[in-house]
Amino acid sequence: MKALSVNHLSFAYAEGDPLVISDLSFDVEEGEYVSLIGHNGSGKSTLAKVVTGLLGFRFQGSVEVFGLSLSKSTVREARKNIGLVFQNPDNQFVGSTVEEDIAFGLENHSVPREKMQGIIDTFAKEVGMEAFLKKAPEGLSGGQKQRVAIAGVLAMNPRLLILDEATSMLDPSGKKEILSLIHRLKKENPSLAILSITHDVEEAAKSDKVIVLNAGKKIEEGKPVDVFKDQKALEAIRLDAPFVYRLANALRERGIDVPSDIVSEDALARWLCR
Amino acid sequence: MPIAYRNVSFVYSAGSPFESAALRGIDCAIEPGSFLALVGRTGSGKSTMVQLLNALLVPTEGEVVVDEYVNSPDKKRRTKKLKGLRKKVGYVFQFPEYQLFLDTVEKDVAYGPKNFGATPEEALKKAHEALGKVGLDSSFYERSPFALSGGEKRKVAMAGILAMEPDVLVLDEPTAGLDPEASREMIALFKEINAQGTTIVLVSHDMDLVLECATRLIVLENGKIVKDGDPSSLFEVDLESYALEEPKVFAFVDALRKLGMSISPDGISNVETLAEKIKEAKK
Repeated sequence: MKALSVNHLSFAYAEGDPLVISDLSFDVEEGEYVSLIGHNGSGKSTLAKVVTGLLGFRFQGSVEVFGLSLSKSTVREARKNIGLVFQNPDNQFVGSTVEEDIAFGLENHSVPREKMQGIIDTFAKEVGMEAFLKKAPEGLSGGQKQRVAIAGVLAMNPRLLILDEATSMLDPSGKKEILSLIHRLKKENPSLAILSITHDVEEAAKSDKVIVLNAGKKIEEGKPVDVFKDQKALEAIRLDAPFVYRLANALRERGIDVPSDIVSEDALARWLCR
Repeated sequence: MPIAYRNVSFVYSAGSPFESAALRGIDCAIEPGSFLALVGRTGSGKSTMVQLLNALLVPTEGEVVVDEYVNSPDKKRRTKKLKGLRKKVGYVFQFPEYQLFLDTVEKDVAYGPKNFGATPEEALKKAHEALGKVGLDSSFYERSPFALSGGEKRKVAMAGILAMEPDVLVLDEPTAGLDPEASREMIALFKEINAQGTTIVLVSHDMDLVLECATRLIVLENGKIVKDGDPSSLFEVDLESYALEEPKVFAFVDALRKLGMSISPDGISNVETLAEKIKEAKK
């Protein structure tokens, strides 16, 4: 089943303004991990807001969430299936402690108090924050705050997780924390669909499918190995290829003929030392 | 302009139950024109160290000297008027674009020089020069900083500091959140500013950035300097024990060496220099 289906979507912030998203179509299947990459200002974050109905319904084309076409009358129902994690860990921490923050969404959905504590404990544990339940956000690192945000979203039992630059404000260790959490979640829950909006190409290289967005248009879609092999095309739209692709290209430019099926650092090192 | 930390210690909330030492006996000199990277885990004292530089904090012990300015707990030694120091040391905080506040780009950039006594015309001239340096042309002058992309906002914030013509520029995670192209532009800008004589102190967790830019590296741990040297000496340091990532190029050199290739990390700072070294090693 399609978790998300975007068909000929176009969007502008106001009438007469330039299109921020232009005739965009793509699908995210159930259980699929899709990365949507593009530079600052390519329309990525606008897309996250449009497909969750946060920017109203004045878009052209259609957005379907698990078969339900997004509109004013369906948005509440559609959102029940979506968990959205934003970029800035400080802006989305609403509780005064970790457990209150995880409880926030549950309270909004009138989950009875007796049930709530169990759910909070389960998801705090899931993201490795069970020892911090009574802690205030001031004492947490960025990565820990994002883990709490993810726990709050998971507690709502989403079938589609949308990450809008969820790691871009974190330091390298925070980034690692979140990415390993996401990969673990996916393993434990094979039907969970993930749409990660990012400009971290190292992250995108580890997803099932990559969609490249430029000026609101899709310019490439495919497996990471197919998308990242064309470094020049990526640079032309202000993106880098992942490290291993850049190094392989730099070696080819120097006459070392790295085979195109080498797409991991380990494999490249072994090939060079064979 | 020479900078010296002389036996500097700093204790937060001294004398209270929450007392905690952030720096312990820091001794170091920073040569004019250098590009110094300050690295270490969160809480290692990096931010405290740079905040002493323009007297946002006063040391608990010891003194920090920047040219004729002395930042010391001893009131007799401490320079009375610090405004000039604030002009000398420009500080670009993390996510500086959150501090933009005026309604046009040129007004925002001209705000600093005006504060330091420039006439409105002079301030505007400096603002235009600084915007030119960061690559924003006159079509940006009248635009609202809030309607720009993330990368452009970051450039406006940088220009706001450059317009004050600092001798020392402190950069705190300057490329965080930027896309690769915007990062590349920023890195080129830092190198150019540094080549023109501005001393740069870079605070970052991004070891690839550090290796690419810095000419000297200090590792802080628990408020003390534990390593001080050439960035390529990083190869020998167990970075993980300081919660730092190994630069990608060094991790790759490591992997090659383990597999038996004879390759030295000296002079490797990015993918291009790495590829060059591999080519030499394979001959």
